[in-house]
Amino acid sequence: MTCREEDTVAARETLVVHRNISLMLCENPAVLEEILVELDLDELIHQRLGARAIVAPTQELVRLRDALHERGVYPRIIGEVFDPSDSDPALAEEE
Amino acid sequence: MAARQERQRSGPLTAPELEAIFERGYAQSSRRFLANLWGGEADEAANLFGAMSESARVTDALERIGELSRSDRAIFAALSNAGGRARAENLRKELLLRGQGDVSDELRRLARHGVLVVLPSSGQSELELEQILDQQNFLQQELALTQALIDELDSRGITHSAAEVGAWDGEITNSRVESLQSLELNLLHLAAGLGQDVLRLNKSGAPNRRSLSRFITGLTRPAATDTHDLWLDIDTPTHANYIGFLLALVSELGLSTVIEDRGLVGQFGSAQEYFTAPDDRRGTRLVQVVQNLKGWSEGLSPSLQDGREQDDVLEAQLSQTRANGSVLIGARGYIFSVLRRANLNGWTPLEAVIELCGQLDRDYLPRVFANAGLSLQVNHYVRAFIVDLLFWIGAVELGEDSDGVELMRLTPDGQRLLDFSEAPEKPEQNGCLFIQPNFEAMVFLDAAPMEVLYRLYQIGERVNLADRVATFKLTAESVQRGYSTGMNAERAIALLDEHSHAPLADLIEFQLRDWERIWGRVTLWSSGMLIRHEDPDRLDTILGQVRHALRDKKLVVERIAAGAVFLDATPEAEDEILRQLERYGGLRIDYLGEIPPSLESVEGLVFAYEPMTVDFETVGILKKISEEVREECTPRRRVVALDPRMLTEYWPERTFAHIIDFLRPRVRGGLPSEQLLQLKARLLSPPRAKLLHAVVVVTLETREDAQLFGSTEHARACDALPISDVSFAIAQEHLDDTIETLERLGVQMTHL
Repeated sequence: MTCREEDTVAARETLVVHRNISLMLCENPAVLEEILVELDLDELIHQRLGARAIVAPTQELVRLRDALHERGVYPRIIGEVFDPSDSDPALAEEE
Repeated sequence: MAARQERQRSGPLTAPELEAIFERGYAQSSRRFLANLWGGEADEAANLFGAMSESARVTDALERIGELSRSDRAIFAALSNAGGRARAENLRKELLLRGQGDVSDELRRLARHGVLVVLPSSGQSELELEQILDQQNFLQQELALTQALIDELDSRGITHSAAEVGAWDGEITNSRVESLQSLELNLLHLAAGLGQDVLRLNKSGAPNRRSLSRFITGLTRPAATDTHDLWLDIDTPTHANYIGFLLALVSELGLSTVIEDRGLVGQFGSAQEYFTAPDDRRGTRLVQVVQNLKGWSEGLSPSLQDGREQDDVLEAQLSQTRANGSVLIGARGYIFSVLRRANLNGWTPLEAVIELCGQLDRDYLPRVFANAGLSLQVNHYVRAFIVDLLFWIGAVELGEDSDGVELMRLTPDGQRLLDFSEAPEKPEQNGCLFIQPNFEAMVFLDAAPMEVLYRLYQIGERVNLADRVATFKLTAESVQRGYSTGMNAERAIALLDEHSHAPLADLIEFQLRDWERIWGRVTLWSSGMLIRHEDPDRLDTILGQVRHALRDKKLVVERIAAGAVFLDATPEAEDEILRQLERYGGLRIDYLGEIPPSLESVEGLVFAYEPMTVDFETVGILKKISEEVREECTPRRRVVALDPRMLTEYWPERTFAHIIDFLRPRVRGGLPSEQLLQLKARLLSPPRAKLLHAVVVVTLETREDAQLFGSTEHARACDALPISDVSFAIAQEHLDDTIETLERLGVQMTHL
């Protein structure tokens, strides 16, 4: 078995846990397709997983939400939303 | 027989009652004392004392006192107004409130002269008058006037005169009052804002200034009447103090909570419970919270008035993690208790109320301040309690008389909050809303129940407030946000229909239902955990284990792909999930913490990664700065080549520094120096190198010798290149000249 093949087997056995992840889940694949056509997610760090979901680091949540709002999509939001602009380093003197 | 008659409980003393009290309730020593006073024998004292009900004897008694002082007249007037008898302590309080100061000594003096009759307590038979007059508990005794004395005082124009008591009578100017409803509207506005966004906190626990300025938009100043100057200004210290008070109330009413010291968020369930409760229950809860307020201190307010340590004080008042008000809980309870017992009818001089609170138990407040380590003056504290805390909750109205004397009185809300009166029955409140076809709902605040306002905040955005009319805009976002908090189209329609002045338009009903239909199509989880495994069956097994271990905890599981599952759990449950997953090993990627290296350096600008184990941030950035090397890619190994053009597009400034910052933590085993040089050569000007062939190395013994050699004419002429602190490289062709020079300079040489 070559080194690369061993790595591949190891990868297949690897359980990967991502923490602090935001999830956008659509009712069905058609809704996601419809949203993706309308939505410009180029600036966002995200990953499409499966037919109905997009995942992104939580730091991207506000931008994702705002992008949806701009397109008239008001998702049901579960959990608290932190605006990273409030922790702008320019405000460090306040700390 | 007169001596057997029962004592009356109210009204002036009658002659028989007076004789009975004297005979049954007073000790022999008291009779002797009064006999001496009245110029007779002790055995005759009963008759003499009974004769106090004769007008001639009453005049004699008053003459013995001499000219009546202002306090004497006020005491007689107050006692007369009270029906002829009252407890000494109540008289003292009443007269304190009327600006007469502490009249304890005057009460004793009048009682010693026998014009105020000290009544024995119920069941008391041997009252020692002289002793009791010298004791502190004299103030607990009931005092009375005889009808004859009242008549005499009346003829002199003293009794039944509010002016004698010191009661205020005249025109009020500069009156200002805050309503309880305005305070609750501010609380609701703040709670609604916190339900939609997070108020960021600095490390000190005080709100982030930029974040706070968003939240206070729409909050009104206390007692604001001018529509141009209605709003709070964060830069005005007294306003900032009020904002601190509102934040503390919101927090301690349970309408908000601090999450991980980072921010303040709304508590939907508690807000709904509070704002939909009946008026009297909300009032009771508000007073409880105000009395036990921990997050804000009226004790710090006086410092703001005179500008001392303003920044520190405001920092403390706004802090969401400091409990600077908790040391004053006892003091607040004391003042509430004094005010509840005081006869606060109508306008009263503010200074008199302050003095009453300071005098009633002179030691209590100073003791509280000393125990808390506060250097506070009692009068400053009580003033802040009244003009800030009580005023802001709408309990007192403040004003001035024509001489500029500050006055206060309890408002109807204040009387209710202090338990003086019941909440008035409110008529059925329908028709407080006008719903316009442009989806704006105008609500008349004076007619709107708090629950209606709360529901409008739930499904709408307040866009205007003026002249006691608030306007809410119903938008797709606001209505769908309301649906997220438990509202639905049918309930929204029913609410608007019930309180609307006119039947709800079909268009509004249709749109509310349509927004509900759209709303359910997309769900956004703000934060959770994603578990991935290439083998779906193995993932199922692991998931089964996790579900079993967390069967008693709240856990939402969303299967989003064959090999991927999203878990939404509380932070504690997340920790438990991680503990369960430890046995399976694998990789942990925390987007707010450590991200493990995932790139493999192949060669030059080429890197590889495994799609399954790489983090999304790395992949996301790679997509923007590299091209896939398709011929090298397999489903489980992606190979990319960095593209200098894409790099400069993505990071137009300090490109090289950015790429190093990106790659260094992500490349397994670190970034090889060869690749760094290659990157630099491609992205910046190529590094330059000087290669010397056939060189002679001259090494001096010391650094000092080397510096001297380096500055010789010969070293400059042959371009000697320093290669260390003590060594120089010189071209082979200068070997003979160098040897000759060193010999000439007397340097002993060793040839290696």
